[in-house]
Amino acid sequence: MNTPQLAKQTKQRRWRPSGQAMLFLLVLLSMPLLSYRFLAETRVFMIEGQSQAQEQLAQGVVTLFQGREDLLQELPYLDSQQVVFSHPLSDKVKVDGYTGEWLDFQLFANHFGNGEAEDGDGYSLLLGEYEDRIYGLVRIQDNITKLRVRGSNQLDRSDHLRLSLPDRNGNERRLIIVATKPGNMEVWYVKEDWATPRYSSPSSSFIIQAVMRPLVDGYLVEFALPRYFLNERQEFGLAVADVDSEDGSMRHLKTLVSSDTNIESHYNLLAMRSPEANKILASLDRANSQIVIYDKQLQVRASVGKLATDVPELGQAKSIIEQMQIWLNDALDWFVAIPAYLSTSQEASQERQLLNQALGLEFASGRWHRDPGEEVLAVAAPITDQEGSLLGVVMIKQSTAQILKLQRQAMESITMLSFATMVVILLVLLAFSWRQAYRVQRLGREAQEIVDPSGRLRTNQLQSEVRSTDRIGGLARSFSNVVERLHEHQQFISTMPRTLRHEINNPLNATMTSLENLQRHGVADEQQRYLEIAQRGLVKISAIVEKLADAANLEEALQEDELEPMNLAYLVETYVNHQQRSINIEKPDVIFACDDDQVAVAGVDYRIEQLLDKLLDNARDFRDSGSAVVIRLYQQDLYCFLEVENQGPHIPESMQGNLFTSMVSARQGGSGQAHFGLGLYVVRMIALYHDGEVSAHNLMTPQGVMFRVRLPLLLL
Amino acid sequence: MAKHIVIVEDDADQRENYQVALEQRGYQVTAYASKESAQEGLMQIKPDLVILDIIMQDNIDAGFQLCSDILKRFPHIPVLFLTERVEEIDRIIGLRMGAWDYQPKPVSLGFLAEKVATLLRLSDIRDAPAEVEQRVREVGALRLLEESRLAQWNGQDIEGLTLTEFRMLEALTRRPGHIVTYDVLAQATHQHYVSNNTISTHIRNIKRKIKKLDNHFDSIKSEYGLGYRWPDHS
Repeated sequence: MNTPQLAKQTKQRRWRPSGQAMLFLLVLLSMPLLSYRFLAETRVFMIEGQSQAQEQLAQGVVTLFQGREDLLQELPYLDSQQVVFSHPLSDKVKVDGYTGEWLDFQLFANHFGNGEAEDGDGYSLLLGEYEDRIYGLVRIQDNITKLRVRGSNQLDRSDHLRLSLPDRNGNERRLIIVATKPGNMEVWYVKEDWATPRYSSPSSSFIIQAVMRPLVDGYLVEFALPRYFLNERQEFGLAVADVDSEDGSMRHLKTLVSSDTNIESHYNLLAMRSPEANKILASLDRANSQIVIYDKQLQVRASVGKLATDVPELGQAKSIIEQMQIWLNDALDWFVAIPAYLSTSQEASQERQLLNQALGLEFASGRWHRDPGEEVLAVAAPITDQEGSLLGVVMIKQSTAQILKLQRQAMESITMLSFATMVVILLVLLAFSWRQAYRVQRLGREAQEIVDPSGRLRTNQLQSEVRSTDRIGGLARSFSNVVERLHEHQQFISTMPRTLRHEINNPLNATMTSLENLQRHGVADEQQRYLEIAQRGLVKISAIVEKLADAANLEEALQEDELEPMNLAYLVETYVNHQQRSINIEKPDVIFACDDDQVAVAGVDYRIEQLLDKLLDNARDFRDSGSAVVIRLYQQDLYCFLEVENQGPHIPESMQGNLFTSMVSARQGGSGQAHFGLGLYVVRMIALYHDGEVSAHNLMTPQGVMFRVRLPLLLL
Repeated sequence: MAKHIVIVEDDADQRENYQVALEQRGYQVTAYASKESAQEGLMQIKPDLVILDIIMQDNIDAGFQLCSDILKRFPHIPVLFLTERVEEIDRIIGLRMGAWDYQPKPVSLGFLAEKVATLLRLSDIRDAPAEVEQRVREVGALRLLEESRLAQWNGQDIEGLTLTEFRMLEALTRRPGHIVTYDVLAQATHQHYVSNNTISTHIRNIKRKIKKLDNHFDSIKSEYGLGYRWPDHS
C-alpha cells in the first residue's frame, strides 16, 4: 500500500469512532424530541378540532331550543310565588362557612332587604345543587348577632333561620337553624309556634348540615339538605329571624322573597333546572364539557355535564415509583403547560362577558386556562324565537383536560419508552464496553505471557482475537504478525550459531586437513613455524565455533539433564580448591566462604560447575589486579545464595538491563581472548533450569561487582 | 591385500585430503561426491569400511539414507560418520542406525587414520575372534577388552559404548584413584577442540550406560573444576 492511501485510510479511521458516536447520540436524543414535537402538533390540531366541534354543537343546541318559549319562559306558579334559582355545582360543597365553592355564582345571588344602609338589614341567598343535595349560602347583615343560650326551651330568643318544607302529603315540616357558637349550627324540628322544639334534641347533622361564620357586618350561614326533603313542586319557605334584645322579644322576621312576614302561608319556589330542557341536553352529555341553558335573566334553566377533570389528584406518594411518577408528571406539566392562567373570579368574568355578548344576539367564543394543565374552550350562543327575539343563551364550556391527559399519558409512555430504551442501550453499551475491555485484557495477558522470563518469545503467533473481524481483531492480527516476525528473527538468532558452525566447519576441516597433508609431505624448517601458527589459529576458530554452538544448544541440552540431590557446599568447596591446583599459583586468587557443611539442592553437578566456570571467568576478567575473587555460599529461608564477588569497575548502567542476554558483553576489545557475551547468558539459563535466578550488583566499598545466584533449597 | 575404504563427501577439498591421507597409509580408497554416485558405485564393490558425510548438496539427511542402504546390503560393514552435524540427537540417530562411530568435524587426519585402523581391526576381530589375542584390563568390576574395544561391567557387555566413550573410559581407569583432567580426557575424543562441557556430557552418557547394568554404579567421581577420577578400590 502506498503512503497517500495509507494516510487517507488513517485519516478515515481517525474520525470514524467519534462520528459514529455523534450519530448514535443524535438518533438517541432526537427520538424523544421528535415524539414531543409530534405530540404538541397533535394537541394543537385536536384542540382546534375540539373548538370547531364545540361551535357546531352550540349551533345544534341553539337549533334544538329555537322557538321553545315553553322551556325558557313559562315557569309555574310565577304569579303567586317567588322563584329562587339553584345553580348547578361542579363539585360537592364542603359545608364549612367559607364561600370558595360559590365564587362562580356570586353574581347570581338573590339580594333582599336594605343592604346599602349603615344599619342595613339586607341579606342574600345563593342556592346550588350537586347530585342529591341542595346547598344554600345565606349572608345576613346584622349589627348584633345573638347566639342561642344552651338549655333554653325557646328557640326563637336568638338569631335563627326558619325553614318550612311541605312534604309530598301536604304536611308542613318546620325547622329552625340556630347557632350556639360560630361553627356547626343546631337544626331543630319545631312546633306551630316556631319556638318550641318538637323533639328533645336537634336533628342529626348528617341529614341537615349548617355552619355559621361571623362576618364583620353580620354572619353567614352555609347549609345542606337532601333533595328528597322537597316535595314534587319543589316548594320551600325560608325566613331569617333577627333577634337583637336580650330577652328575645325584639324579633324581626324577614322572608327571603318579600317583606311578608307570614312565612307560614307563603312558600317560595325553588326553581330547579327544567326537567324537559335537561332531557334534551342529556343526550349531549359528554366528558369534560358542560352545556348550560340560561334564560334572559341569565338564570340557569338546564345544564348537563361538568368541567371537572378526570385527571387524578396526585397526592402523597407512597412508593419511590409513585414519587418518580409525580416528578415525571410535574416535569411534563412544566413541559407542556402554558403558565399564564386565570383565577376563578377572572374566569367568571370571562364567562359573563361571553354571556353578555350572547344576550346581545352575538355568537361569542373564548378560551382561557383555568390552571396550568387545563385549557377551557367556551362558546356562548343566543337562543331566539321565531321572530328573532332573545329567549335565552346556551353556553358550552369544554375542558382540554382530556386532550392534555392523553398527551400526558403519551408523553409518559414516550418518556418511559425513551428511558427504557436508553437503559437498554446503556446496558448494551456497558456489556459491549465490558466485552471490549475483557478482549483487550485477554489480548494484553496473552501478549505478556507470550514472552518467557528470559525475554524470549514462546510462540510465533497470538491465539486471542485474531479471527475477530473488528478493530480489536485487526489489532490482534497486526500484533500477531509482529510476533511472528520477531519469532522468525529469534529463530534466526538462535539457530545462527549452529548454522554458522555447519557452514564454518566444512571449510575449517578442509583447511586443517590440507595443512596436515602439507605437513606430512614435508616443509622446510623455516616454513614449519608458520604452518604451526596457521594450525593454532584454526584451532582457535574451532573453539569459537564450538562455544557458540554450545551456547545455542544449551537449552535443548539442559532438557537431557536430570536434577539430582547434591551438596552444593561440597561442590563449590571442591571446585575452589581445584582452582588453585589447576592454575598452579602460590597465592590463592579465589576465596570461598561458607558456614554450612551441607547445602542441599536439586541440581546437575556439571552444570553448576559450568555456571561457576563462567562466573569465575567473568570475575577474573574484571577484577583489579592482585585482588582475590570471593565466592560466598549461604542459606536464607527456602533458598541458598551463591555469590561471586570481585573488586573492580562497576557494571555500566546501560548494560544492566541486558547483561544476561546472549551476545552481550561489557568487555573492551584487545584482551586477546574471543568473547561473545555468552558466559552470563549461560549462567542465567542454568540458574533458570534450576528454578533459580541470577542478578548483578555494583558494590560501593570497596568498589566492585557481585553476581548472586539464588537457588531453591532441597527440603529433605 | 590393502583394505578398501569408501569415502562419500560432497566437498572436493576435504574428499581429496581424506583420500590422500588414507592412501598414504596404504589403504585403497574410492571417493564419491554424492549419494547417488555412491549408491551406484557400491553396487559394484564391497568395501571394508565406509566414511560418510551426512549433509550432501541440498539433502541434509543424505548420509543417513546412504548408511541405511549400505547396512541393508552389508550388515557388518563398519560405517563412520564424519560430519559437521554435531548435535546430540544426530549422534544418537547415527549410532542407532548401526554406524560404528560418529566423528564431528573438524578432525585431525592423524586421528582419522587411527580411527579407521581401529574400526578395521575391530571388524577383523568380530569376523574372526579366535584369531585375535585380546589384551584385557580389569579395574574392579570393569573389564576392558582393548583389541575389540568392548567394555564389560560385572561380566556383562556395556551396550552402545562408542569408540570415544571407550577411549575416555580407558583414560579414566588407567590410574585409579588419580584425577584425570579435562585436558587428558579431551585427547581421547580425537578432536582439535573439546569443551569441558562436552567431556562432561560424554561422562554422563558413560554413567547412564553402566547404570543400566548396575543402578548403584558410582565409580566415576567428579573433581569439580579439574576433571574426573576413578576411585581405587584395591
